[in-house]
Amino acid sequence: MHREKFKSFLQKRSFLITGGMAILAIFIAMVVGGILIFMIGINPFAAYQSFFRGIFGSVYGFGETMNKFTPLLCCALSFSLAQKSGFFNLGSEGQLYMGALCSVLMASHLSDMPAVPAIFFSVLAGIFGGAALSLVAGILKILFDANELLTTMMLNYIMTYIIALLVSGAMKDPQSAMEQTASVPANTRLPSVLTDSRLHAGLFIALAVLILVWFLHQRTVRGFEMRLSGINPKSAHYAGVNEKRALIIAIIVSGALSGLGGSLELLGNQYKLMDGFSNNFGFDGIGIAVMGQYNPIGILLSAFLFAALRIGTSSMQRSMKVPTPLLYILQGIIIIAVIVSNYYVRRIKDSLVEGRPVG
Amino acid sequence: MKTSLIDTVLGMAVRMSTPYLYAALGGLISQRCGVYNFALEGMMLGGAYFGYLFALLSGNLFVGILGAILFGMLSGWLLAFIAIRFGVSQMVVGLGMNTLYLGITSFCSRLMSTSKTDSALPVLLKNVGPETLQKIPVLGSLIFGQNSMTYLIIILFIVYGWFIRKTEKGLSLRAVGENPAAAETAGINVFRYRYAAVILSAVLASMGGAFLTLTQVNRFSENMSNGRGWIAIAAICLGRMSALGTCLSCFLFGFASAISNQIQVLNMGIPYQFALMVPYILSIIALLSVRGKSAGRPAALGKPYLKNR
Repeated sequence: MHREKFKSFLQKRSFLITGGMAILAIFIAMVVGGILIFMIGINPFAAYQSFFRGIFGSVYGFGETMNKFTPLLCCALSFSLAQKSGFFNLGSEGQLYMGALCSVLMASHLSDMPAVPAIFFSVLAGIFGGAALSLVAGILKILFDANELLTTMMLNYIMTYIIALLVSGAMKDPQSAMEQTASVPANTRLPSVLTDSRLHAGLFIALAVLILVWFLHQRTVRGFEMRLSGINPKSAHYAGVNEKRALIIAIIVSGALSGLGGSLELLGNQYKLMDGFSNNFGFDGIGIAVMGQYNPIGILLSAFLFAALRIGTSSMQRSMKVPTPLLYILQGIIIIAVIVSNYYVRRIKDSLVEGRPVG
Repeated sequence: MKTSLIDTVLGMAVRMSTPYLYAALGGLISQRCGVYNFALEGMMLGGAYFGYLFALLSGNLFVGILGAILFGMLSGWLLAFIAIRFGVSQMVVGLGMNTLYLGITSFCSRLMSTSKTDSALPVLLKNVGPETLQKIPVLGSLIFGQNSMTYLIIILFIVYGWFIRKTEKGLSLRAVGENPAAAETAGINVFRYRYAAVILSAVLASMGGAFLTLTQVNRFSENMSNGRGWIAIAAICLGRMSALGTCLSCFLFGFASAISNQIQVLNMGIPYQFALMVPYILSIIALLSVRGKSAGRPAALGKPYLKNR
C-alpha cells in the first residue's frame, strides 16, 4: 500500500525524477572535477570553497553571476524554441554577435537621446540583427533544403571573423590600443539595479522575455502551430497548419532571442564589442536547454547553474590557479550525464504508468 | 614564378584537405551505419592534443599517432555506448562531447604551459616522395610532395569504396543504416556493426586531428581544429554520401583553405579575416547545391534503434 502511494505521488510529480537526475548529473561532474583538481596537486575542497565563495560569497559575485545568467537565458530560450518547432539552431553564438554588433552601431548614434528611448532602440536593433542572421539560415533551409545544423554553425565562424575584422578595422576605437569598439554612450547603458554590484536591468528584461516566450509557445494559436509542426510537419500540414509560416516565425523569434542576449550583454555588462565578446554563450544555451528539458522552469534553473559554473570556475582560477577550461569539462559531463539520465527517467516513468517494478 | 605559385597552392590544397579527408571518412562510415557523429570536431581536437602529447613524451611520431588512435577508440566507444545503448539524441551527445574534449585539451595544455613542459616537437612527419620527382612542375608537389598520412587516407578511401560496394559486410553495414529492424531479422548484429562503425569513425577523426600537430605545426594550441569537423560533415553532405563525392568535396575545401592561406601569405591587401572566412562561406554555398530530400542519406540515419521496442 505504501508503495502504491509513493508511485502515485511520483506519477503526479514527475519533475521530481527529472530534477533528481539533474542533481545527480551535477554531482557526478563536480566529483570528476574534484578528482581532476586533486590530480593537478590542488586541494579540491579549498578549490570548491573558492568556487562557491565566488558565486554566493559577496553581493558583487552574485551580481556577476546574474549578469552571465541574462545572455545565457536568452540563448537557451532561442535554442529551445527553435528546437521545439523543428529547427536546430546551432547559430546562437553568431546571432548573439550580430545582435551586439547592431546594438553597438545603433547606440553610438543615439548619444543625444533620453535614456529610455535610446536603450529601447539599441535593444531593438540587436533583436533585428539576430533575427536577420537566423533568417538567412531559415531561408536557406526552406528554399534550398540546406541542413540548418551546418549552415548555422558555419555562420557562427563567419560572424566571429566579421567581428574580428570590424573591431580591428572599420569600427576600432581610435583612442584605444586594443582591438575593440568605443564604449557605448552612457545614456544607452542599462542601469545598475543592485548596489555594490554590477547587476544590470537586463536581467528583468530576460525574465520578462522568458514569460512572454512561454506564453507565445503554450497559450497562443501560433505557438500551437509551431509545436505541431515541430513534432510532425506533414501531419501539421494535413491539419490545416501553414507549417512553413510557423517555421519561419519560430526561426525569426529564435534569432531575435539570441540577438537580444547579445544586446543586453553589450548594453548592460561589457559596453564595447571585441573579439571573444561572447565566449561561448550561444553554445552554452544549447546545453542549458537540454538540461532544462526544454521547459521554462528547467531552463531558468539550468541557466543559473551554467552562469554559476562560469563565475565559480573563474573564481577558482583567480584564487587557486585551477585552469578555467575546467568549465568546459564540467559542462560536457553535465550535458552527457543529463542526456543519459533521460533514458532512465523515461524508463522509470514507463514503469510507473504500466505498474511494472522499477528497474 | 606563376607555375611555382600554382604548384604551391595545389600541393598545399592536398595537404590541407588531409584532415578533412580523415574526419569526413570517419563521419561517412558512421552515417552509413545510421549514426550521426557530431563529435567529429571534438575528436579531432582530442586527436591533435593526444597525438602531440604522446609524440612529445616518447620522442617518436608513430607513438604520437598511436596515442591519437587510442584516444579515438576510447572516445568512439563512449559515443557509441551513449548514442546506441541509450538511444538518445545523437546531436546532443555529440555537442556535449565536443564541449568535454575542448575542456580536457585546453585544461591539459594550460597546465603544460604554466609548468613550461610544453615544447615544440623536434621533428615532423616528412614528405615521402623522392626529391627529384617533386621538382616536376605543377604535378610534382601535388603528387609526390605529400605526407605518408595523406597517401594513407587516399588508400583508405579506396578501400572504403570497395568495401561498401563489393563485400558482403559492406552490404550488411548499409542495411543496418537503411533498416536496422530488417537487418536484425536477417541475422545481422546491428549493435556490433554500429559500435564498430562509430569507433572507426572516431579513430579516423582523431588521426585527422593528429595530422595537424604531427605534420603541420609542431605544437598544440587551444581549439586548433577550428571547425574542421563541421566542414567535414558539410563535405559528406556535398558528396551525397558517396566515397568519391566526399573525397572530391574535401579536396575542394582543402583548395579553399589553401587559397585562404595564400591570400594571407602574399599580403594582397585583403584583410586576413576575409581569407579565413573562405572555407566556411564555400561550405554554405556547397550545401545549397545539395538538392533533393534524401541526398543519398540512409533511411534510418539519426534514428536510435533499441532492441526491445
